Amino acid sequence: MLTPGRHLVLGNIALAEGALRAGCRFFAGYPITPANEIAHYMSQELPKVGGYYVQMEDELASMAAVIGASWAGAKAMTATSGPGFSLMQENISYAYMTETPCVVVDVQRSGPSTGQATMPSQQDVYQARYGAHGDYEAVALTPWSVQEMFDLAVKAFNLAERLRMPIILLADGMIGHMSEKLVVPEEVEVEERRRPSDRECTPFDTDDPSLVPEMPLFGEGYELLVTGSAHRPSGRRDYTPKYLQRKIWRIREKVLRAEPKLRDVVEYELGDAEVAVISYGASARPSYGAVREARSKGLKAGMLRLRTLWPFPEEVISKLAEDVKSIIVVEMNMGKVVREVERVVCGRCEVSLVSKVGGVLPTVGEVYDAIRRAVR
Amino acid sequence: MSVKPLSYYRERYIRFQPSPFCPGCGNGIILNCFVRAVDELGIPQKQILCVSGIGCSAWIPSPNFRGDTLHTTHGRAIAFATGAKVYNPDLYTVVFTGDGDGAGIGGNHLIHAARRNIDITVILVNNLSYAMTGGQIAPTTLHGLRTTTSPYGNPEHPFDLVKLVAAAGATYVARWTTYHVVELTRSIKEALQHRGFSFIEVLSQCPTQQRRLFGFRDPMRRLPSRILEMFAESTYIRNRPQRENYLYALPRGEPNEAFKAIEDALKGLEASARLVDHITYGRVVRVDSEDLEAVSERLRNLSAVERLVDALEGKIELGVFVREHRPEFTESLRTLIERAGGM
Amino acid sequence: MGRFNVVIDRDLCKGCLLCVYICNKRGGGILAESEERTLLGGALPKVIGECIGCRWCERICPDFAISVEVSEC
Repeated sequence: MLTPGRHLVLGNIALAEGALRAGCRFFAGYPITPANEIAHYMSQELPKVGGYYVQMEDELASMAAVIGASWAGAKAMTATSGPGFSLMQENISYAYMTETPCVVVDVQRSGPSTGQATMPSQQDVYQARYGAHGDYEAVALTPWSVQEMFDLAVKAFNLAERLRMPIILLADGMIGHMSEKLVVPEEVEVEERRRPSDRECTPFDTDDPSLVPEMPLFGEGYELLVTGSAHRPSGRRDYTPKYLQRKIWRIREKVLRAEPKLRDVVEYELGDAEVAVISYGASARPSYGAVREARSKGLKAGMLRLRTLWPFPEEVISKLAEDVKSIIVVEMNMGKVVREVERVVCGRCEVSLVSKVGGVLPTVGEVYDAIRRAVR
Repeated sequence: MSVKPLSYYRERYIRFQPSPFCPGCGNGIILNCFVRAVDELGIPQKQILCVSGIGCSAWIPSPNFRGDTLHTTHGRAIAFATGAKVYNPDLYTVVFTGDGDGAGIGGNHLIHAARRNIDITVILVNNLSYAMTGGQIAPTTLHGLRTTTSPYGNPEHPFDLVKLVAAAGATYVARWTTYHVVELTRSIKEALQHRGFSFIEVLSQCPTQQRRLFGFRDPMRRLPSRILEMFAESTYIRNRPQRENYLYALPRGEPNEAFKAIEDALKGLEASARLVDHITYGRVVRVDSEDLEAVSERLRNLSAVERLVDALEGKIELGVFVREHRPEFTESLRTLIERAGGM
Repeated sequence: MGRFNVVIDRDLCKGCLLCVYICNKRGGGILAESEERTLLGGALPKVIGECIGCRWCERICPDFAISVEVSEC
C-alpha cells in the first residue's frame, strides 16, 4: 500500500488504496475497461494484508461472491463499469433486501451497450438509483478528483458498515484513468458494522433509532436465516404483507433518516450568485472553470457540486432555487440529474441543461456560454 | 455407528416442521441423508453453511436445517458460496441446488467452481424439470418428454451432469437417486470430507411434475413409490457385479395387452414376467430367467413385442465417478498471501 | 413384547406411503396403507406386524415423521 504523504497516482489506484485503508479485505471482480486497474492493484495488495482477490467468471458472480464474503465477515467490494453494473443489478437488489454491507464501484464508461469502453460518461446515474428491481433507497457517491477517489472510497466502506447496505461509488473513466496528486493521510477513520450484543439477535429488524439491525455472521452459531425472499425479522421466509412492508419502509427510512449526515455538497461562490451551476464528478471540472471565467467577467455565477448524489440533496437545491434566478445542470448524459433538479425546483427558477455524450467532457466554453445566456 | 431413531435427527437438525415440500417429494429424503452424514461425521452445526439458489431444492436447508443458511438468487448459490468459503475457509460449505438452478441458469458458476476446485460440496437435486415454477423443460429433461413448455415433446437433449462437471475439473463426482439412501448418505459424507470441489447429482422424484413427464395417472399416495421403483429399475451401480439374468420386452401396443401375450408365449419356460416402468422406454415387460436364450427365441418375433432390450441398455449409471486430488482453491489463495508476505 | 416400537407423527406425515413401499420391499413388511386419507389424497401408514428394527422407513421418510424407538421391556 502507499505510504502516508504525497503521491502522483492514477484515479483507479487511489480508489483501491482508499478501499484497502478502509479495511477492505475481499475483492471479487471481472475485467472491464475502464475499471481494470482497481482489480490489478487489489490482486497485488490484498494478499499483502491477508486479504483475498477472486476473479469470478462474470460480474454477477462477482457481486454474489462479495455478498457471501460480507456475511462471512469481510469488508467486501467489486468494481466494474456500465455493462457489468447492469449484470450485477439482481444481486445488488439481494444486497438491499438482506442488508448486506458492501461497496460497488461503477467506473462509468460511454454507452449505451459496448459504447466507448475507454471513454467516460455519467449515463449510469439512474441505474445507480433504480437499476435493481424492487423498492429501496440508494446511496451513491461521485468523486471529481483522484484525491476524492481515495476519500470517497473510504467513506463508501464506512457508510456500508454504518447503514448495513450496498454503497455505490459512481466514478467515471476520466477520473479513473487520470493521474493527479493524492495525499494519503496517516490515519483514516474506519467504522465497523453493528455486531450482536448477545446470543439473542434479530438480524433483520431493530428498534434502534438508526433502524440498522445488528449483523451476526456465518460460523458464529446463530443458525442464520438469510434470504432474498420476504422474511420476518428472524430471517424466516414469510410472505405476509406486513413483514415486507416494514422491511421496505425500514431499508428506505434508514437512509432517508441519515440523509442530513449523508449530505455532501461543495459550494463555489454561491453567496451572491444569480446563476448556479449544479454538477458532479468529471463534468464539474469544466463547470468550475466556467464559473471562474464568468466571475472574472463580472458575472454573478457559482457552482453547487454534489459529492453524495443519492440520496438526492433536495433541501439544499430547494433553498438554492429561492436564491438564484437560474440553475444550469451540467452532466455527461442526455439529462438525468436535471430531472431531479426540476422536480425539486418546481418552477421557482429557470432550469437548463448542458449535456454532453459521445465520451467527451463538456468544455469550459460551453458551460460559460450557458452561464452568459442565463445571466441575460 | 450408533443407531439413532429418526426423532433424534429431527430434534437435533430440523426446524420448522412440516416442510413445505409436496407429499413424497425427494427433497425431504435428501435432507434426511444430509443430516445423517453431518451427524456421523460429528461436524459442529455452527461450522456448517448451507447455500441454496431458487427452486424447491433451495428449501432443503432453508429454513429446515438448523445451521447457517444463505438462500440466494436463482442459479447463483455457488458464486455466493465461493465468497463465503474464501473468506472463512473453516465453514463446511454445502450448496443445495436443482437441475435448473444449478445446470441451467447456474451452469456457468457450476463449471467454474469445479475448475477452481474450491472446497465446497454441491448437492444437485435432479427432478428432470423446473418443478417449482410448474414443470417446464430443464437442461436435464429427457428428449421427447412432455412438459408444460414442451407439449409436443422435448426437442432438446439433456446434459450428462456427471461428465460435464468431471470435465470441468471437479475432484469428487457422484450420482445417486433418492432410492439409494444408504449410498447417498455415505457419498455425502465422502464429499464433506473431500478437500476440493465435490459434486453429487441426486435423481429425485417430484410427484407433482413427473406425473406429466412420465404419464403416470396414479393417485398421490401411489406416485412417490412408483417413481422410486422406476429409479431402482432404471439404474445400475458402477463397479458392482450386476445380476443380468433378465431382459426387457418393449410392447408394440398397449402394455397390458402385450404383457398377456408375452406371458402366454413364455408358457413352459423357467421365466417370470412383470410390467415395470423404465425411465428410457416407459412401461415395459421385464422377463427374469436363467435361460435368456430361450426367452429371446420365444419373444423376438412376437407381434406384441416392439423389440428386446438387454438388462443395462438405456439405464443410468450410479456411483462415484471421480475421486482425486489437486490443489484446492482456498489453499492456493492462502499460499498467495504467504508469497506476498501478508501472513 | 416387541423390542421395536414404530411411532408415526400424524402432524408431520403427509401420507406419501414411501415407508410402506420400502418396508415391504426391503424391510419386514410390517407397514401397510391405512384407510385414513390426508388432505392431498395421501394415506397414513399403519403397523400391521412386529417391527424388525431395520429402519429403512426412517431412512426414506421425507418428513421425519416415522421413528423406530427401542422399547426396553
